[in-house]
Amino acid sequence: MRSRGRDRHVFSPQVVERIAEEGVAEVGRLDAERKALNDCLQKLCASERELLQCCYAVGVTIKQAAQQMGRTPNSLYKLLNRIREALLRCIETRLAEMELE
Amino acid sequence: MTWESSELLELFGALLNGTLTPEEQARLDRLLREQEKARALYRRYINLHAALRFYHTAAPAANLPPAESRRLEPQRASGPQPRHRAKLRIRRLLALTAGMLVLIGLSWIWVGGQRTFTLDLFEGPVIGTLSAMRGLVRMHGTRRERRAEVGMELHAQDTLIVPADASAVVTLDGTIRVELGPETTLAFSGTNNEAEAKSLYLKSGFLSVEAGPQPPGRPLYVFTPNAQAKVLGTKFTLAAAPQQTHLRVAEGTVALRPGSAGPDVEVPAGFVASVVGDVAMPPRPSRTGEVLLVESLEKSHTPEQWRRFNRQLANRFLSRHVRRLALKVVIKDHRAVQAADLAGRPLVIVSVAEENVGFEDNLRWIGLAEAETPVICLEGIAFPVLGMTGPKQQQDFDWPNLVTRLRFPLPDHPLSRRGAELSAGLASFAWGRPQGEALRIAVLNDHPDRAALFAYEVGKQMIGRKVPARRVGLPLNPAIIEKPSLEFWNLFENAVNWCAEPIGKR
Repeated sequence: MRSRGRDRHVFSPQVVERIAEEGVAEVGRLDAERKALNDCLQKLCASERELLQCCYAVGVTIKQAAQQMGRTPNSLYKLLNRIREALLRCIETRLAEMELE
Repeated sequence: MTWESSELLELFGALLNGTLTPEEQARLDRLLREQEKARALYRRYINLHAALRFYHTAAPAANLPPAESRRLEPQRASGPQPRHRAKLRIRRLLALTAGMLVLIGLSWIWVGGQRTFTLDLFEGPVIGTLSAMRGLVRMHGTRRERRAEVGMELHAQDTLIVPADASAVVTLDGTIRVELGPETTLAFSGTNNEAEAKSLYLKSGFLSVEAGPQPPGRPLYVFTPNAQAKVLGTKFTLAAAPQQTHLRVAEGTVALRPGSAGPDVEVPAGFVASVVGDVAMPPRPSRTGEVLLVESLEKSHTPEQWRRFNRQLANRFLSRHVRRLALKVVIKDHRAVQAADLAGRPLVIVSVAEENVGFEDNLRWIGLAEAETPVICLEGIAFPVLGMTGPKQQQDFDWPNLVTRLRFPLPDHPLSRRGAELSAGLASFAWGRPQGEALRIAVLNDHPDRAALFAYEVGKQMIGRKVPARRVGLPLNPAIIEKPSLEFWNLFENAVNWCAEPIGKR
């Protein structure tokens, strides 16, 4: 089982600085992204929404959420990744639509 | 999306889930280092994660859209299958009935004139009040955007938008005072449920917060795009910019955590901590309080002088960059500054000024040279007053229109951080010729005695006295004042951080 626990100090300082500096130009996009996310969340089914609610609740670990939902942590990780990817794709599509509107 | 982005998404997922192997970590670091597109995708992914965290932890009930059963991906089939048609017809009939019931209900509300009920349908619970404001502040509610007014109630899901040259003060729960600096966007969330935490979402900009002790189990959370701060009762400032959050604590303790989870970093009083990207930097000692920016806004009379400054713009940029580091700024005209204004400041910044308007005399009169307050001086004509250089322009300081390169003879000094990027290109720099035991941080390549950035450490010798508190000379070249480079701002932020560091506490 691979695991690094919750240690997030993973990137080299150059990477962190580049990510931060290039991000400055994207400030204007944040609002539009949030609006797009609102639309995309509405397209999720109830079970996907429930899963997000469980996993993102304050103070709840994935293990606890998995136990609560009767799943294994690994399956929950996979589902979470799938939902995040779907949301990301949906946001990109929605942003493109918003530009055309 | 391409296979490359699929791989990236898988790695990002593992990163957030805490299941990234060392090999994957190295691979991800390399991809992010080499590919701009990968970094852009990473920012999107982390922004999404931060927004989801906000939705589900900050405002679980208020923000979530109503439950429906639609899928994200469009259906592959072009239309409904025949065996589902009967079911679909029934659903349509039910939907039509429901729609009619809603219409009847709304008509009843309209006729009955129960306006408060219709409002309550759309607005979240009242969670605070706008108690003061300056300038044109806007409030974006669930249904509309309008001009904010003092005394107005703020509901869950409302967002306050504070433009440049404006500010606002919000009171929450009667125990929390939140001041919003210029160029700040802050969203509110929370419910009437006393068991749930109160929370704010600082999308960008600067907050100064004074929070009394919070009820057990009901801390205040302040989220930013890449971090969260948990407040139990304290006084602090918080600044959020894309991928950067800075927190400076004046009283009490705040727990800071990167947006993608990870352990809390306890930030005690007198310390500053940052989250850059997804990484929490360890807290370091810092002065707190309001930075004083001394400006000179007299009208210029000649085209040359006009070109020399767009001073107002410069002051706006300067204060924005100070706020980005979670330090509050107060701007005062040099004619209004008193000696008492210097006391207890973490830092005084002497901004660019007009000549022959009494600027130097006023700095002398308030005793800035002797003040035990750190000073960053951006104006060459003020160097002699502060004992940082001799008095002659062209010999002791100047702002020529010559392009040159910079060299950083002290590469390990904190003021030289990120300086290498600046040494690569040609540019026009103002300079000063420091004396005594000055640290020459950035010197002109062909004139090593001329420094574009220099400093004096406490207790060292400067002209006419021992250095009473840290001094930094970073003359702003009037020729580039309207568009200082990113590298200049890096050096400026280095200078602010260095000056805000208390001496003798490390």
